[in-house]
Amino acid sequence: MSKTALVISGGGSKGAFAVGALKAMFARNPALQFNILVGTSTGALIAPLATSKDIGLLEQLYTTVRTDDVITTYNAGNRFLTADSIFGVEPLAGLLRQYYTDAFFQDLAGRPYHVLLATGCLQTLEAVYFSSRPLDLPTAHQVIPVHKADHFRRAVLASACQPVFMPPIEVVPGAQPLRQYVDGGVREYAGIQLAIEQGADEVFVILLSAELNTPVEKRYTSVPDILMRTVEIFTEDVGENDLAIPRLYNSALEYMEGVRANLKAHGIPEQKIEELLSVPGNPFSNKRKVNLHLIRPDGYLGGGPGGLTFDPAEMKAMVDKGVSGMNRYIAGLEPGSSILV
Amino acid sequence: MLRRASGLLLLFGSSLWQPCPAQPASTPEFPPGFTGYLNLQQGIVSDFRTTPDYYQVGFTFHPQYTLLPSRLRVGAQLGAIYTQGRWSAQAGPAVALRLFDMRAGVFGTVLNVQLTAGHFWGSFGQRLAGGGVQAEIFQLFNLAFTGHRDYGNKQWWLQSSLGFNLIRPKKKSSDPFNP
Repeated sequence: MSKTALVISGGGSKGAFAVGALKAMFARNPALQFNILVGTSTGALIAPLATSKDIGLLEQLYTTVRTDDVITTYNAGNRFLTADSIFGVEPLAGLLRQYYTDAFFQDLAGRPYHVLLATGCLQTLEAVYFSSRPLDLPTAHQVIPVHKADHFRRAVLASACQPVFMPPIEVVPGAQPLRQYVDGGVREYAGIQLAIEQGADEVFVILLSAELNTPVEKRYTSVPDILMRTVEIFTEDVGENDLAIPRLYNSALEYMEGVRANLKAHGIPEQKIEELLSVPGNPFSNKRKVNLHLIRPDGYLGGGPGGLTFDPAEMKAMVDKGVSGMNRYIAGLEPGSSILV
Repeated sequence: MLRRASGLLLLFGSSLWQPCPAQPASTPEFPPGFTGYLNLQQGIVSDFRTTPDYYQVGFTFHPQYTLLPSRLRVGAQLGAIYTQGRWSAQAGPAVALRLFDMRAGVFGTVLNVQLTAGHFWGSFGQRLAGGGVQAEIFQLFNLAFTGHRDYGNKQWWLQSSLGFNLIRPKKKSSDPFNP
């Protein structure tokens, strides 16, 4: 059975773009159901509600929530010296309690698909995914199924908590050994490889940052300015590297298919071709080509530094950009090349 | 390594250190509760007519309570000041009115600037009335410039002081589900 996955990256309020893209997808195919949903940061807030039934609620949330509904600001210097984060996230925790209720989690855990929330562990430095239910296939990743609604809410919050700016979260309070988790974007901007490993044939990846290919025509003269530009370069690098391996496998598998076709055209029997290509250590054995769809904004979306500015008017525009971006993408698909067309 | 550090900072843009032009309606400065600054002060005591002016140095303690959050603190000042070859004690009521903040973009405030006023009685007939301006930095330190008229002894007290908040804001829980 073919599997479809949805992967949503981090980006704070820019998650509104992903909501718009999803809205367009469900408008196109109301019966659409993902088998695997992987969310990082704001993507982890969206993924559990990424169904045709809940898209209305998602849109409402991502067009009405304000910054004060998500984070609390303090004296930044005082927090830096005396606390474990610059912002407080009590308002966001309150929203999670309001929408990801115990009943919601029980329902989610019983659904036939997996919701995976990407985090990074401060103690082990590993990427850790929290799953709404145990995985069907073995995994090389660290995946922890959650069994309680409280742990699920904590995992969502952990995935959204950008370290330094937001506090690390104990997903299982009091657990030994102590494990504190932060935004999964520390390790992986988008958990594409996990989705592919779990058998996804078609993967929709919604990235919330535009490609940084427009030169900034100015002289960089101050340390903070150069530091922030460097961070932008590194962040872009994390995102590109997450995409690089699936893309490399896809192009290598296409090449191998071409080689097979050539050999066959030269009259070499199928069995002989298999023999010739069966070299020990073949990195492409048991690998299949994945239908990878990458949807990302054309340009800067807004949302302030780190997407930490939640401005309803700006977010409505982001939703619209997501809708139009996805509609354009769908219009460019060849019929039969995706579950959407 | 750097690649991972980049993930830590995610998508923060170059506006991080840019000044915030507009003051938001709410401020985390002057939170509810108590403060208690211990200041080291120095300055002069003078009547501006006879010479010499006297040097003064000493410690003051300022326990205050935020009566109107984000706006007004009331409390007391207790001091031990050395001047003219002797130690004197001073005590009396004091108030602080928050004027404005300086912000670090979206990350919150860095300091607030206050207008202060007080009236103190001293152990050598001093009756000091006055005030000044004070910057409260990180809610941990302050820097104050004040002037008082000692109408008991017909003198002026002008001083600057540096302080540290002994009653710091309580550290917030890192568990947002159980604040």
